[in-house]
Amino acid sequence: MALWPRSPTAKPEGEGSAPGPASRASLGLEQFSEVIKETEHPAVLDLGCVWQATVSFFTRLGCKVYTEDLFAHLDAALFHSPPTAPPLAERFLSSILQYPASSFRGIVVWDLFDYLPEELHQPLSARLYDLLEPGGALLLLTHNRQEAGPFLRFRILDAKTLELVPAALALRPERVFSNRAVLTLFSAYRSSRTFVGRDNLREFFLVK
Amino acid sequence: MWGNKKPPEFSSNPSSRENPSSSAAPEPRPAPEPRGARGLARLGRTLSLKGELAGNEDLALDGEFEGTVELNDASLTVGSQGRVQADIRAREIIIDGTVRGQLRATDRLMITKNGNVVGDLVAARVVIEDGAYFKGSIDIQKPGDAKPARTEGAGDSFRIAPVPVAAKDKLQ
Repeated sequence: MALWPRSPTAKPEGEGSAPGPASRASLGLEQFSEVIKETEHPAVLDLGCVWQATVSFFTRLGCKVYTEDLFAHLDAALFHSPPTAPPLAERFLSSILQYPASSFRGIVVWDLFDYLPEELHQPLSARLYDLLEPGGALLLLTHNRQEAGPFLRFRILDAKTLELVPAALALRPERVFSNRAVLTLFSAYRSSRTFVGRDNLREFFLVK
Repeated sequence: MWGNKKPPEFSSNPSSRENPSSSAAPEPRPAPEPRGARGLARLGRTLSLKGELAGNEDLALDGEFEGTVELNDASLTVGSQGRVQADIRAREIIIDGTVRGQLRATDRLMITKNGNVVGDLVAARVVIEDGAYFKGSIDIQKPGDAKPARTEGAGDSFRIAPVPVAAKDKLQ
């Protein structure tokens, strides 16, 4: 298994070396799907990279799917910006999530916050809250511990199953969130539920 | 901070950054041959065109194009070297290169693993290969749901309305 930082000879996304994709049950996704299905032709924002399986899952639910890969965007802002570029917060936040308020019934954040420098936590969580319509849901994942391993992408296989796919971004976890830290960061939400998996991943299902 | 200005591109294709092998200059590949008995028109990879393009025969774009494309019942293929900034309507759209714009396919829209697309997609079917880069929205509309395709001005050959190209307007 690759260690941080990722080897420059790492295989491209979707062609990761061993151990390859693994799947996990997701109670948070199940809850998220139920909220999505409450409205007709809901808009869903996926902050991961585009996957056929994920797009098909949401379109089968009647969704219009928006994809904006903030992982790749963060990777570019951290590791591929010219030396004369503006400060990180400015160059990252000024160019993402250009949507009107209350645009989405659901937002899938995956484990993005684990990789974000702390200066981006509050502005990004506030922006996500702004983008959700009232009653809309947000699905967030976070790791229980900071362990060496490949960067993993998530894709949806069905309403209860996620697949974890090794990918070749150079991002590394910035911190491990406690439950309390997550709920403080997303304290504006009307309700929250936490699901703890055996694979050291926690899921937060939040409703605005 | 959250203004509506167009986001600056840190890189042309984040997915390619994740593929170290892509750092070497790729060998230009011609666009896959669209299937069908209709004639095939091709914009070669050294060509750059700006304007409106309409017709009813399959088209392959390997060069640069900016404007609008309306192909009604035909197929558009953007080759690996193709760079297109356009609103596109066609029966089938296959993207192996770089495209920015609003895309509507009455049948299938496909982004290959090399494809780099920023825009809003509407199609009856969408196929996205692993490794493709996409930013935008995807809306599935089956033929019965879709608004009828515009037929005005369509013919058996292409109609091109060129407009002046300023060097600074070229695709980045």
